[in-house]
Amino acid sequence: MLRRLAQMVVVLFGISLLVFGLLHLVPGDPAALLLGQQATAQDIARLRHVMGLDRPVWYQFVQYVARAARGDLGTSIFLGGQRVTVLIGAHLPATAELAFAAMALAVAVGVPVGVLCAVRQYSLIDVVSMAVTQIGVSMPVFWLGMLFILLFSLQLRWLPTFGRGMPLPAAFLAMLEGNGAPLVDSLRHLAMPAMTLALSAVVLITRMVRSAMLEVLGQDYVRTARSKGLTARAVTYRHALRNAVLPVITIVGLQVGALLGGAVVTETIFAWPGLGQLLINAISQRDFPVVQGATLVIALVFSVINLAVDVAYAWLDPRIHYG
Amino acid sequence: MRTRSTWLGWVLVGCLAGLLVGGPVGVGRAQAPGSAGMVRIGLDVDAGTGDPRFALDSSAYRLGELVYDGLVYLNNRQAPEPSLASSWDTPTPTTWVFHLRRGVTFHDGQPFTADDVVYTFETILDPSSKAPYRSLYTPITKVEKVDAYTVRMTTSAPYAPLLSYLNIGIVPKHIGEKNDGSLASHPVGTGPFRFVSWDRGSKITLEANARYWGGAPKVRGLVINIVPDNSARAAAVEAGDLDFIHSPLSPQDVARLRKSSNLIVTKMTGLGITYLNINTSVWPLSDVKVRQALAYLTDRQAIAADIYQGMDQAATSLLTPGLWAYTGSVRQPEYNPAKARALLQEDGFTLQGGVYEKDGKPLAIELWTHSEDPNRVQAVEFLQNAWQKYGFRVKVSTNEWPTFSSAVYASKHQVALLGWLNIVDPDRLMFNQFTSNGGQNWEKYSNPTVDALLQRGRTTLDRAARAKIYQQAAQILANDQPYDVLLYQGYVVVQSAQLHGFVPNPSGNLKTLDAVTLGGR
Repeated sequence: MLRRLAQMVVVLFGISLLVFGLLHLVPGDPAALLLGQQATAQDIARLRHVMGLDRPVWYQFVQYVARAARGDLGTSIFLGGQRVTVLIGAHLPATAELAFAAMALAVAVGVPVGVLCAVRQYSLIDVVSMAVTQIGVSMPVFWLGMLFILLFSLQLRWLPTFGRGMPLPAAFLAMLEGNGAPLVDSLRHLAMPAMTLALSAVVLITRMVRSAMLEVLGQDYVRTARSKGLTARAVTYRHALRNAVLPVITIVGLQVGALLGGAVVTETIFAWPGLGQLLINAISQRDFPVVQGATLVIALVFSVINLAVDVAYAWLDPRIHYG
Repeated sequence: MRTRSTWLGWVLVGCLAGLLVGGPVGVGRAQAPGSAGMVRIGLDVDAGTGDPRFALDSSAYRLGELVYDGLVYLNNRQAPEPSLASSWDTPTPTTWVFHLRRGVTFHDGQPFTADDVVYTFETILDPSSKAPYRSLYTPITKVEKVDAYTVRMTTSAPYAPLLSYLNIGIVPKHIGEKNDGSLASHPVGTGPFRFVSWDRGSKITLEANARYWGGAPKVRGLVINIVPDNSARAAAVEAGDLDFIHSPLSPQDVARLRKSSNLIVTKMTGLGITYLNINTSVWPLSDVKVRQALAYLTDRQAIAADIYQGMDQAATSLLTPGLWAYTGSVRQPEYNPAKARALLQEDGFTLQGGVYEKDGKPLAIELWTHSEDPNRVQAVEFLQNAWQKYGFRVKVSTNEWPTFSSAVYASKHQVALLGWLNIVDPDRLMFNQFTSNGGQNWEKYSNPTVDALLQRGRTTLDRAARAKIYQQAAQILANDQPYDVLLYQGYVVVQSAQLHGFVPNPSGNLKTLDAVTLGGR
């Protein structure tokens, strides 16, 4: 475990170095962007000096790492001098909420459908599901998002077009205190972005569960279980699924990590105030501290989730040990 | 296993039930609880700052105009009207004396005085300041407090456009001088709306300032929602989740919204232009006849009608119809391919295999724009086709804004399609752009006559005389074609039919929301 934690630190350092290097390689000067089109060359040079951008890149990097190690990720160049940690703290929960909701939805749909397809291989339901997932995986997210808005907001008038309600934990607390309205409002805001984001994960999980189940269902111990007289349901869910679920866990883990950093398009369409939006704006403005900070946090979350997946492996399969 | 899945099942059932119950029955659409009487606005980006001195993006401007007041207010025709300065006079051509409004207080209850005005401008002019538009104010050499309600500004030379820039919000000295940057995240001004809260990247809530010197707003407040995607913002106002949106909007969405009986769509010429910046320092574009030939091959009407669907207007010169210096008589070369052909042949170009050549060199140019604006990307593709059809070899390149703009600022381009916004005075569009040493002379244009005219335009205080000067300069530039002005940008407002009394300002200023009423909610 200690070795894995050490590896994580190395990965994070590597990522900071890479992001820092890339940011300084691509054209675009934050000082020039900050001062706008009316600025003169002298104005830009002066601001570059004030911001320390005229120092050698290695010096800037060393300073950054030294500060980051103390938990100080600097302040945003564009967002009124806000601390990067505060900005991330404000945006990460929204992204996490969306990513986990999408993943819960994907698992809730993908696992049963995958199992069904495997159990009834080549049946109508299998063929239709596979065809639908193929269409789903080919559909661009922004287009799907707009279709949902058209259907659920403009036609049916069921769901709000944009934004986020009260954070889910707070909404749950409110419900426990007898006020259910905020929870309903939050879930209605969450529904379309979560469905949009879930689609690609649903496809992956369905296909993964199907193939893993097919493999497991053909093994000897399943035949033994059946010959012992166990019900088909018990064989499928208690014996086969538990073994088939290992590769699915990997996919889910990787997908949650990817969703945390990659929900940019969904967040933009539904005006979901998450990390993806913060990051994309920061990149287009060359807001170096925010880009570095957000990438670092995404990498950290990704590493932690990977670690959690490995731990889950050991828990699900007693044969796996980490030394 | 079973208990876990049962529990999960119940949560899912609960969620679905919640959605269904909340759906068709409606818990008030997207309105947050307690939003009655609040006007819900949709903007495309979150404001970068709440401090008007450092505002760069359009949302920071809009927020600043609602929360703060300037010394003057620029009305619909961009003429300065009294605001925090109730009157002003110019005892000499380089001295401006402003008489301030009495009895005005900031939102925290502190009185507004001359100290706040002096502080605001001194901090903008501070050489280490990050104020984006500092260069507009640098002709001011001194800002002095004469008494608690009188301020004197001295300029290095007569500076005619000054008043057009004095609409910038006055910040409270007692908060600003703490230097803790709190105004950036918690703006405190004297304006019609008082800042309440800011969910970064999501929404900004303002409430009516009951003690506003210009009269309390009639609505309870405003919620500025950040909805980045243009089509999603259009869908939100269509669905009734927003009461008000404005440019930038996609022409296709505006055409659809016009058909809705619940919405009012207003279109007017804005204060921006879309133009081609032509680098006059590199061959073949250093040849004025080549630039003129390009102008003759550019069908601006087709771009306005087909790509912008009539939302923007085909341009005829640098002077936009929204400006007091506008005249229809200044005209750049209009679409006429025959004239282009004649001009190039007269200039010694011959057609070889479909491409013009001179001294063995082909007439090849690069055309750039930035990838963020799909209409601009379409426009450069249109131009590439049109110009190639008549013997130019054209390579198109699109990059994201930071990469594109830094190359253009360094004059590494040949022809670049971009725009200018907020042209409240012709000086703002021409002085730095066309004087030989101008800070934004990316096209490397140099003409002593234009230099002299633009200098005179800046130092002549009489507006009628200024108009003549700028018309003269614009005609020279229309002939020389360092800029090919393609479009006058349109300004579009889409509002709920329930919202009454809003008067659109082509600058995009939302201050007149202080006079609106909201029917039905």
